[in-house]
Amino acid sequence: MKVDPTLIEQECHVFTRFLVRAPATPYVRDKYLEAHRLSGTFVPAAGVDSALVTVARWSPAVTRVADAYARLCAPRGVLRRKLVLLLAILETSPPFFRAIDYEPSRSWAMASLHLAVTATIGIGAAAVGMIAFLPLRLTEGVWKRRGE
Amino acid sequence: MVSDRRVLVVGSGPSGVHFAQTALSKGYQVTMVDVGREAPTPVMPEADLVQLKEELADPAGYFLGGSYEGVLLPDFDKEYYGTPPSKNYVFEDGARFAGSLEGFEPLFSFARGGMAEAWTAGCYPFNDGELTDFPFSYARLAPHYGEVARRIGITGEPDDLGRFMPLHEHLLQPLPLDTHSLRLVRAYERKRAYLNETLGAYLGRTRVATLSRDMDERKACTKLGRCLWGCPRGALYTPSQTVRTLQRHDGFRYLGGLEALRFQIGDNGRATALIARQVGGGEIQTLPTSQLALAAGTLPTAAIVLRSILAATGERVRLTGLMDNRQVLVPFLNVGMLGRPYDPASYQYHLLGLGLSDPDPRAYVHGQITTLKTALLHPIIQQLPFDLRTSLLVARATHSALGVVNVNFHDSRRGDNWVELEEGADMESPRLRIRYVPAADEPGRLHAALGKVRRVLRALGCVVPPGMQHLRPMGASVHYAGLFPMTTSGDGRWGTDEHCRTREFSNVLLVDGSTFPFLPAKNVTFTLMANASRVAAEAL
Ligand SMILES: Cc1cc2nc3c(=O)[nH]c(=O)nc-3n(C[C@H](O)[C@H](O)[C@H](O)COP(=O)(O)OP(=O)(O)OC[C@H]3O[C@@H](n4cnc5c(N)ncnc54)[C@H](O)[C@@H]3O)c2cc1C
Ligand code: SF4
Repeated sequence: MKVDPTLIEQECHVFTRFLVRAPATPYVRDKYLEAHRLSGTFVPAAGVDSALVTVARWSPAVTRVADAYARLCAPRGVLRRKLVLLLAILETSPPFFRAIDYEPSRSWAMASLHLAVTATIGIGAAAVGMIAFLPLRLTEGVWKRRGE
Repeated sequence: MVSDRRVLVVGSGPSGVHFAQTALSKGYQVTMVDVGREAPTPVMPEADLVQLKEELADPAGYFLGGSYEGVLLPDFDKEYYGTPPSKNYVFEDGARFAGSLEGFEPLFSFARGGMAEAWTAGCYPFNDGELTDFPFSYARLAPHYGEVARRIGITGEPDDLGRFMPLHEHLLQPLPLDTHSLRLVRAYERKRAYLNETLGAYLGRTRVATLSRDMDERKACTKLGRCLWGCPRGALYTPSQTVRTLQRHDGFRYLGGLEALRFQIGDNGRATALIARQVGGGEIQTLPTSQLALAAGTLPTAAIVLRSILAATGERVRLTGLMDNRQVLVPFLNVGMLGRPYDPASYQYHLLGLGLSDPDPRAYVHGQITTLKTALLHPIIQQLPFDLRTSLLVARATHSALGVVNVNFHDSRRGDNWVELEEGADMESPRLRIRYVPAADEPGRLHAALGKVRRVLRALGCVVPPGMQHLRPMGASVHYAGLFPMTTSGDGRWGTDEHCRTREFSNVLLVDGSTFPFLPAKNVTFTLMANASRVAAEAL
């Protein structure tokens, strides 16, 4: 599969910072690139699919919003596929697997509070994502109808 | 009794190896024909899971595979088995056997050791109620359960599940419980009266073929947390270990890399030779036989018999009565475990079992409870309804509190579930047409039992997340059975006698699940092994 390595590497850095709050190691970057070279499944189709990936590359904060939207409205799209691939690489590679597997030990009350706050942030990200990307979806709907 | 003390066995799965071991102990010469794809050498055998991730030169390559086949992408729409790349060899080339399928998604294995090279080692004896349709009772099988337990090492103890599972000989002390499982046991003890009396639900230790103490070359489980990827200590039993034991026996010959195509049928209706081909489209070999035992797994065994009939008579036979256990996965979150650290140094599979009683013992519902330990998390994280960062944090915070009950249901033989050779299938393309229609009462049975499972979990302090229960397709439990049922009555052209001898071909024994006339909810493999041993003891 022909890919633009610079673009994929840059995307890998942004997405890694989104997922684990750290820059990608050369190993992770190479694995991510290799997966893109091996399979066409990470090539976005035109339209919302492609726009989501382009926008998500801007910064980790934007990735979160784009991904929150994708989870609800494009769960099988290329952005989700790329992020899940990266997550799988990170959870099997040092040092990142620790950031995915391990939670600091907390009291039951603190753990419940932490969970509630995390979920609330997630719901917030989804709300922002829906507001920010809904116009994109509507536009695509109009394009599709015109094309028919 | 036959006087010629030689037997040709096809297949090295649990059925084949325990048939062979008993045959050898009776002084038989055993030749085993097997496709026999081999396992890769285990990497860093002394390392635990964390060390593997830390120290392997290419950890993602090991866990996800050279072509990233171990990554579960969100657009994957088949049944997910979570088979790691190190177990790819177990299911390699199976697709060649699957023709047109209706209501059934089978797996095939051509590994040395068969499907159980990737199993989770649950070993449960059937009781008299469950054996009602079989032409023998528990008492006749009990010595063979004991013998197989002695050979492979099964852990378990007398507890509340004992009312469903007879106690056979040679049980080893159970593996230690992880914190989460222990918490479930404590909650069960507090709620025992309600669970037993109101729901008919019982909790106890699973019986697993994983060693709690060293046994010959195999070492006791030291909680490396690598069970899914292949236990490097040999603590978790796989039949290829028995193949190694058999290979030390003078009377045993293992012919790997050979695919049995069919047997030749002589004028007297007896099999005279096995026709096999070297794997990879190689040379055809004719192996003369006076006694043939097919243990290729229910579906491949059916393919061999169907092709033999087709070659001899031109007849295309349809075999009815295919069975498999319906399985439903019920994930749960144990609220009391929140905040507890996750411990990767844990045995990965089920340590607890859940039994739901029924006035009809054949309708017993069997559950295995796995508390989540060292599995890959990306398949779970992506299912949560948030962006991946939030989902990752939620999964991490709940990691030590997650678990799943794999609920198994019984199956019975019905005429509308059948197997035949695909039209146009020949020796080169052995594809099977399979049709399966669930029993009419299945939705009602599942609904009632799953409602009980959720109530049990709630009573144990767990939450069942809505919408995450998963009904697995038929074929997914890989407990296939029933195409040549054993009976004493002599009914049915395609049945076998109580010694699993085919009625049509008097020197052909079927020693896998093919001959089971009923499929209880309990995982079948322990009974496959015990029955194979029984057949060798009684029929040879
Ligand atoms: C993920 C997983 C988990 C499981 N967990 C459990 C569990 O916890 N408990 C349980 O009871 N069961 C479990 N099972 C099911 C169990 O593995 C099977 O019931 C069991 O392996 C069947 O044994 P078998 O010997 O009859 O057939 P198989 O295991 O299928 O073995 C067939 C053998 O025949 C050989 N063969 C096939 N066709 C040919 C041919 N034409 N020529 C030559 N050789 C041939 C193959 O190479 C293989 O060696 C599990 C299965 C899977 C996949
Ligand atoms: S935890 Fe699993 S991999 Fe580790 S020793 Fe025990 S059975 Fe083997």
